[in-house]
Amino acid sequence: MDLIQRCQAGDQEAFAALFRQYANLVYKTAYLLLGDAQAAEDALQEVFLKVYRSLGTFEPEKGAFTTWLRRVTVNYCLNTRRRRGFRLFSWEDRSAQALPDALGRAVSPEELALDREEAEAVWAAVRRLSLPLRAALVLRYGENLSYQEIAQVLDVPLGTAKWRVHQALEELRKQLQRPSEARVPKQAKAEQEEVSP
Amino acid sequence: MKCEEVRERLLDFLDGEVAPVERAGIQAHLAACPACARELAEVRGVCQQVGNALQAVATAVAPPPGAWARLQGRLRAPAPRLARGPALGAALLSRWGWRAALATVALAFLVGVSLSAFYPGGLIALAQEGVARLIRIVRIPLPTQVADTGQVRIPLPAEGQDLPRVEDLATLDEAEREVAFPISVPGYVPDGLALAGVKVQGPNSVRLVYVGDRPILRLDLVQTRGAREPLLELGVAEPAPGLPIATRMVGGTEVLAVLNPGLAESEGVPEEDLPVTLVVWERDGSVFHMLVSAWRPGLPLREALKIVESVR
Repeated sequence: MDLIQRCQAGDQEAFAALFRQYANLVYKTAYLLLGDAQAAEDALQEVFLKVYRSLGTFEPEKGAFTTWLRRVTVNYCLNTRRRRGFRLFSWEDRSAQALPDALGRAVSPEELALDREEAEAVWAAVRRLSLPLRAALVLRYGENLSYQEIAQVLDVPLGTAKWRVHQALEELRKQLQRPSEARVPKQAKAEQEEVSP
Repeated sequence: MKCEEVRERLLDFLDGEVAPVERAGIQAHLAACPACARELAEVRGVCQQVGNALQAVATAVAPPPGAWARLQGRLRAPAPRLARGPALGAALLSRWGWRAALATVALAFLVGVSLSAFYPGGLIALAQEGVARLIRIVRIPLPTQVADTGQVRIPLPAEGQDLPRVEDLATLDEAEREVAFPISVPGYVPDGLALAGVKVQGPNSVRLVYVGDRPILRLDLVQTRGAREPLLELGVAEPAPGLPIATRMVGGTEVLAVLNPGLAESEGVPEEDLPVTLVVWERDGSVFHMLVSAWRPGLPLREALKIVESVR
């Protein structure tokens, strides 16, 4: 009996193991969608409550558990944003305004300012996207899912999933206003002469 | 192929989702057209930037350590029974009795009145002005004695003051077992503050007590059942001794600001440009505390005063 089946059978230890195994996935997806540590933690709690109460409806033959879990997470995030356009009196983490502090520690001090500035600009632009477009973009570039998997998570046709990713990138290009070569990343510059992907 | 056709297919080309014949056509066009080649580089650059930024964020964040403990507490609680329309009211009345229901309505009314009275223009206007983290703190006389534990300086309750002692506090987990609602903790508190413990004030209310060394010695927050997040916070905040305090008159009201020169880059910075940690002002018998360091570290005094003026 696998972990999911044990959870479905009411095994509490199995559910704890399920949480340990997938809490990261849910939290990171929610963080990328909501851009806020407190909201991501709320999402983590609510999504696992939902999983606890409705795991019985999960049917393995219809798709992977991670796809189902991501769908629950994305749906929660979409709905919570609809319910609450903004937050009042919440002590949000500073990462609501900027990138997490942990980001950038891995790069050298010389590169930190430039890289961080660029990453901040991209992150801010991502946060300005509508949530459906952001969800598609996050699944594609934050979680490296295929278009087919994105379509399954978002429960939309394949063409819609692709359109959302493309539209999100197009909006990002406009927001980032990158007409000059000066803002093209080094690697892309070096590859400019090459024409094959 | 024409430039327009090629540009429409660039993302699919990068994703490897074009047929071999079309791919060859695009490659031939790109080899001969510098403008489209630049467009390809730019699209690739954006994809790369987005991937780098999102994956860096995903790598840098992780669930908080107490997440499973919080979830466990909620799993033990009975699932809420959903009712609609008149059935909900009847259920409440039968379960709590009419006195409790009346008290709940009265409390909601009082909270609503007090919030709208304190924030002219309404909460939405306030939030849209970007002052969403303003906290209303009811005036409590500041303690006069301070216990120095060697690590943290803990203000002691003054005579007759109803403040819990730090040594009487429960841990977050213990408190969650005693109350019938999930306890929320702030995602971020000012530098130097740490959660000392929780005082369970009753089945529907807890007080989170934070202590620290500097710039704020102690901060109490009260969370009541029913609020998804603490909407009305009550407590006491005391700045550490030795920090400069600036006073200004804003609209006829004295405003006190605790400065934190340690955040400034060099000496000789005018006071108006010094970073603010905490701003306190009084109105209508209540004290307002704005913990600037909780949401915008380094905000200079002159900007903080503009915020105070804007929310009067």
